[in-house]
Amino acid sequence: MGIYNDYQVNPAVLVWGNHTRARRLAQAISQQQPVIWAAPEKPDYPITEFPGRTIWGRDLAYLRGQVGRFTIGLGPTPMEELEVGQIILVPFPARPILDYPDETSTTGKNLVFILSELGRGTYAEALSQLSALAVTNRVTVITDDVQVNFFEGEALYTEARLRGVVFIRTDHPPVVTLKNSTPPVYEVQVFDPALGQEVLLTGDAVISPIPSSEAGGLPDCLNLSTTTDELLTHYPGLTHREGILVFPDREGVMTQKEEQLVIRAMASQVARLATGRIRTELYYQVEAERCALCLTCYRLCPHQAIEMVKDDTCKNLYREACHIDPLACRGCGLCYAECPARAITPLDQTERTSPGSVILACKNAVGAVAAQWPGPEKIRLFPCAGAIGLNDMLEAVKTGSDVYVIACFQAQCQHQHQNQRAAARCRLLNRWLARMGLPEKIKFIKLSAADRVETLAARMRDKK
Amino acid sequence: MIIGELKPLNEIAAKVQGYKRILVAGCGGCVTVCQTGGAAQAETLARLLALTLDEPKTTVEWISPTRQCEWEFIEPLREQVQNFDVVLSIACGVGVQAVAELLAGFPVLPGLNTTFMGMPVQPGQFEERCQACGDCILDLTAGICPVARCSKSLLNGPCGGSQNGKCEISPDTPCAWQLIYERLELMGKLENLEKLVLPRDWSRSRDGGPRRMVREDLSLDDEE
Repeated sequence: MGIYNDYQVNPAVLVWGNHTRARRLAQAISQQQPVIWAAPEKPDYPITEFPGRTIWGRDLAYLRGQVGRFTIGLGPTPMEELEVGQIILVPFPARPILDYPDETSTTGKNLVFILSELGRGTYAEALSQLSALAVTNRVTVITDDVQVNFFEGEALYTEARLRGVVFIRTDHPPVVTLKNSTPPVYEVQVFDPALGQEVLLTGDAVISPIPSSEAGGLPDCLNLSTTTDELLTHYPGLTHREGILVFPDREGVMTQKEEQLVIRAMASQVARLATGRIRTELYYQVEAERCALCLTCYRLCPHQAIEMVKDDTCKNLYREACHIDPLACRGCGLCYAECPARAITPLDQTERTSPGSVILACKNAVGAVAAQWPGPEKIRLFPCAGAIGLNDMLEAVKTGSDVYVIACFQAQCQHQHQNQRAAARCRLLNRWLARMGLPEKIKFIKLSAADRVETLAARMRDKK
Repeated sequence: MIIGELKPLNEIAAKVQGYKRILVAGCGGCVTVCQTGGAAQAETLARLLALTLDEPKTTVEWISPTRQCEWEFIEPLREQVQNFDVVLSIACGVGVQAVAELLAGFPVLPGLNTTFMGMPVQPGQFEERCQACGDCILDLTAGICPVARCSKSLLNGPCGGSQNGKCEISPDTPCAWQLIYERLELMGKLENLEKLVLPRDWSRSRDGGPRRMVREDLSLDDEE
């Protein structure tokens, strides 16, 4: 099953950041493989007996290559190049600033809190503050997620509700406008999914977090997605780029014990390259002679695993073709589905041969249901909903029955929201089918691996 | 690069009505890059047509030469069309004409509307950048073409329809002259705007009739 290959890799790890936890992490890794500890500023605490190389006062200027063979440019000029296999960023933990009104002098006001994209430390603090303010003021909270996963969190939330705090839970960003009046009045417009409509709130003050200037951002040259929240969902600090890790807990609320645990987990994560060799599965490959160098895959790859390789063995017009790095590729198959030149082929054919299937499913979404499904509809598994291409859907349409495309829920996609892409493809194909006077046969279903056979059956019935 | 968009599928289906053996021909050039006429799209179109035209009486197959606008790449089509009644080309208008000329007399239908010359500004979004007017003035306008990107192709803009940096035709269309102003400001060359650009010679554009370019050293025409 599958095709595997051995690769030589650079075992060295770059730990980037000058916080004490960066030092502890670097120290832990140094026991198993070479480590370079670097940061734009020298730590302000004494460093003694650090076993690896240290570099201070340089910036990350550029990054080339992939996991196992990164080349990092350290600026400013003169540039220095550094070769490492993996990178761990340790951002300086800092909480965003929330400017709370004074609870003793503020009374009878309308206060609107916007608590979105916050860590639990800040959230806990905000919850107790707004609860106190709610005694003498009217408080409304607009939040992306009601967080209670901290000490006494549930109690704090209940307390706030009892004091009349209204929570609006929404993923839609609110629009705040300042009315030109004395005293100033803020108008906050936000979509409330519970009501299914826009609501307009007025407030004497709007309290929303400002990122702390101390907080270490992520260097631009690494091309990591900007919302750190998204980055940090995968424990322990895995990002969408193979070989680049980010220390979780950007607000610094971990206990020492938790931190030790994270350090151990991250050290074992990078240890897979410690021997300088790695065996890995190859999922997809580009047939260079067909590659039109359109860069579709290069631009869309959720893991940035694609590089342009120029050499004379590329038998296409350009002597250059896109190349999937086997170590950086996580096998989602998006490139296969999107390649307009049909130059990308899956190497493991076992999942691809299932004629007559009308359920095309992301294997993560469908989970154990795939094995338990009683039929009669046959299921064809894909590594991700992003790999279910238009031609695969049309192949299924040929059977004459309805076609079900199954994807993960938004937050659960391991490959950066490919569920949206799959949904968009279903809409497109349905539009085309309708244009040709054919029934809109493509049904899009969201499923989670925790769902049961009955759930899938029910969702399929709903779509009929 | 040339951007094309698939014709409405009902139109395509109507065009191929009556043909029994259809060959959908993609192109590996520009329209592959813009995801409308590549091998994968040729396959998709072939599959869609096969659904409406009742199989098995009709056969729909697809191919995709490297570029449809050059004789060498489409020469194999002479052989390949032997088993077909019609070619449905999803190359740009240049490709369709090249194939039609090569197969003179054989029905060749366009499946794509060639829309403009542009670039992918971000994945999946293509914007017009050049109109092949034949007399480039990008040096005067800080590298932003007013002929292609101003709705009125004004050479001395902006006009009164420029509002908040957007063109009056749509809030999604940036005003080219606003962009030019901003770029010139960045370059410290705002005085360029004070120079009046005189009416240009449109005979080098489409107004002069179909255009032709000859490179003497490459051309084999005998002169002497």
